[in-house]
Amino acid sequence: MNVSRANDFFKEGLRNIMRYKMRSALTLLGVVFGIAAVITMMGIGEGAQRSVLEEISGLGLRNIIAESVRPTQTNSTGSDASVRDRFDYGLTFRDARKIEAALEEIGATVNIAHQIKHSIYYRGVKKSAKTLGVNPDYWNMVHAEPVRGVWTAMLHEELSKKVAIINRDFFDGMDAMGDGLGETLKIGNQYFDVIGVVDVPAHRGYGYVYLPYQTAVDVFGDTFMKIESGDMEYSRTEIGQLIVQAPDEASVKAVAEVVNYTLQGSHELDDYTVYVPLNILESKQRTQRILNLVLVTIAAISLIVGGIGIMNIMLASVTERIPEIGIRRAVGATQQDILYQFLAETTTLTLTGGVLGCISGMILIPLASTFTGWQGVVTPGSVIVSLLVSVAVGLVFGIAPAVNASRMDPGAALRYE
Amino acid sequence: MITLEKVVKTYDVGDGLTILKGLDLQVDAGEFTAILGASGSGKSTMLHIMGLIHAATSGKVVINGVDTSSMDDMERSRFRGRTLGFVFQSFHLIPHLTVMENVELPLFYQQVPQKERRARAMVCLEQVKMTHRWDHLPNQLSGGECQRTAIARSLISDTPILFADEPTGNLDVKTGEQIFKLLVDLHGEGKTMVVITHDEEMAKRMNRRVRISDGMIIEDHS
Repeated sequence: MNVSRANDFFKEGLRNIMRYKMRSALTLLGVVFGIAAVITMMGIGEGAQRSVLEEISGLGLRNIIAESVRPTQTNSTGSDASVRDRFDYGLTFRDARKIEAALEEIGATVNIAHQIKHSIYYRGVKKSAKTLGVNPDYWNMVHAEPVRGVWTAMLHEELSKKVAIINRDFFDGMDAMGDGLGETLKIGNQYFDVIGVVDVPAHRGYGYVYLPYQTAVDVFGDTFMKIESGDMEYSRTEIGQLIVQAPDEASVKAVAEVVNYTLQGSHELDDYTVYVPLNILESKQRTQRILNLVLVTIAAISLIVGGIGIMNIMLASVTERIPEIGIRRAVGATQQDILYQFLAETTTLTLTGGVLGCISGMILIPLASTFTGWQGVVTPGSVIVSLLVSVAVGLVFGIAPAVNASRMDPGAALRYE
Repeated sequence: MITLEKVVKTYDVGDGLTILKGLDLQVDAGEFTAILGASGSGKSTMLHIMGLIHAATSGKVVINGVDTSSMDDMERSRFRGRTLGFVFQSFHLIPHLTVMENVELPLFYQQVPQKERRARAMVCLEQVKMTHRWDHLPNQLSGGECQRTAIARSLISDTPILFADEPTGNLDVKTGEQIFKLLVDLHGEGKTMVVITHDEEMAKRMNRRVRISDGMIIEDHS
C-alpha cells in the first residue's frame, strides 16, 4: 500500500471518528489514560534517573568514601563520672597511609578531609551544617560548580586565613540579605568570612561549609570537647573523611574491597563507615527499574482495558455498517481494502488517543514533579514510543473487527437490513 | 459477452437451499435484457452471480471472454470494479458520504488520484443531471435523485456492462419512467444492460426478456 493510499484510508478513518464524536471520545479515553500513564512514567522515570545519576555521580562514581562515625560503645574510662578521658575514634592517618600503600600499584589516589564538630552560628542563630576542612585535591574528586564569589581553588590560596566557602543549601538556610559573600560565620569560637558559594550535587539537601584544610587543622585541631547535661567529653578524630579514587569505574569494587579489608584489620570499634557511590547508583537503578516495571504494568493494564473497549466498539461498528461493506464490495473493494479501512479507522482512533495522551502526559509530568520532587522530563523518545504504542494498540485490537468486516459475504451484506 | 453455463447456487441453510439449478444463459454485447420472475425465483441471485458478488456453487461464469470461476477474491473484486456496474432497487448509497463521494467511490478502489476522481464524478453527475446536489447527503435527496446518483456511480468506471436490480421499484411512476429513460440512453451509448424488473410493460421495451422460475429459465424472448 503506497503513501497516498494510506493517506486516503486514514482520512476516511478520521472522518468516521468525527461522525460519532461522543462515541469516539469515550472510546478514546482508555487509550488517552494509558498513553498519558506511559509518557508520565517514562518522563518521571527519566527525570528520577537523571536526578539519581547527577546526585550520585556528584559523589564521584570512581570514589570510595570512608567517614569517621562516633561508635555507640566507648572505650573511655574516667575516675570522675562528669569528666571522661579523651575518646579516640574514627579514621586515622595510619589508615590513610596503609590504604595508600595497598593501592599504590593500581594508581588509586587517597584524599583526606578534616571534619569540624563545632557548631556554626550566623548572626547569633545556630545553623545546621557539616563543616569540612578540605585540600585542593578534594575539588578534583567531587563535582562542584561555582555559584558566585571565588572559585574553590582560591580557597586554598588563602591557606591559613579564616575564610569559608559555603554550598547553596547552606546559603538558602542562612536567610542572608545579600548574596552571602562577605558574611561572617562563627564556628566554635572562631569567625570566618564567606568568600564563595558553590553547588556540590553530592551535598545537595544539606548545608556544608568548606574551610582550607590547614586552617581547619590549625584552628580546631583534632580534639573536640562536648559538654552535655553536666557531662564533659573529649573526643579526638584524626580524619573526618577519607576519599579513595579508583583509576577507573571497572576497578571501583576491587578498590572498595581493599579499603574495607584494610580498615577492618585496624578498627576494633564500629567507628567508621564506607560507602561506594557506584554501588549506591546501581542499587538506586535497581529500585528505579522495579518502579518502572510497576508503572509499565499499570500503563499496560490501562492500554489493554482501553484496547478491549475499542475492539468492542469496532465490532459493533462493523455490525451496524454491514450494508456499507456490501456496497463497497459491490463497487470493487477487495477483502484487503475493507481490512485496511477498518484497521485505519482503529489506528486513527488510537493514534488520536495517543496524541491526546501525550498532551495529557506533558501536563501531568510537571504536576507529578511538584508532588514527588522528581524532575520529570518529556523526551522525544518517550513521545515516539507512546505514539508507536498507541498505533500498536490500534493494530492489535482492531485486527479482529477488521477481519470480521473483510470476510463478510458481499451478497449477504448487500441484503442485510 | 456474459455466459452462464450450468450454474448452480446452493445456500448453506438447513439441508442446503438450491436457488439456481443448472442455469444456462448467454447475453451478447449491446443487448438490453430484462430478467422477469416471481419473488424467490432466483433473479437476484443470478444477477449477483453474473455480477461476481456471489460465487456459483458449480458451473461456469464467463464475462468478456474471461472465465471468472477460478478467480480469487482480489481478482474478482478488481474485475468487478472495472467491468461491471450496478444499480440497486434501494439505491445502496452510503449515508454518510455526499453525492460526489458516493459517485467517486469505485475509483477510490481503483486507486485513482482524488483530483481525477472528482473530475470524473462531476462528468457523471452532469450526465444524470445531479451536479447541483453534489455536496448533499443521500438523506437530503428524493428517491429519484438517489437513483440518479446510484446510476452516476455505476457510470464512473465506464464499465461495458451494467446490471440493474429493479431500478424503478422504489420510485413513483413518473420518476421511474425518467430513470428508465436514462437507462435506455445508456444502452444507446453501447452498454450491455441486464435489468431485473417486475414491470412487464417496461420489460417489453427491452431487446430481450428472460423469465425465471424456480431457478431455471422458462422463457427467453428476443
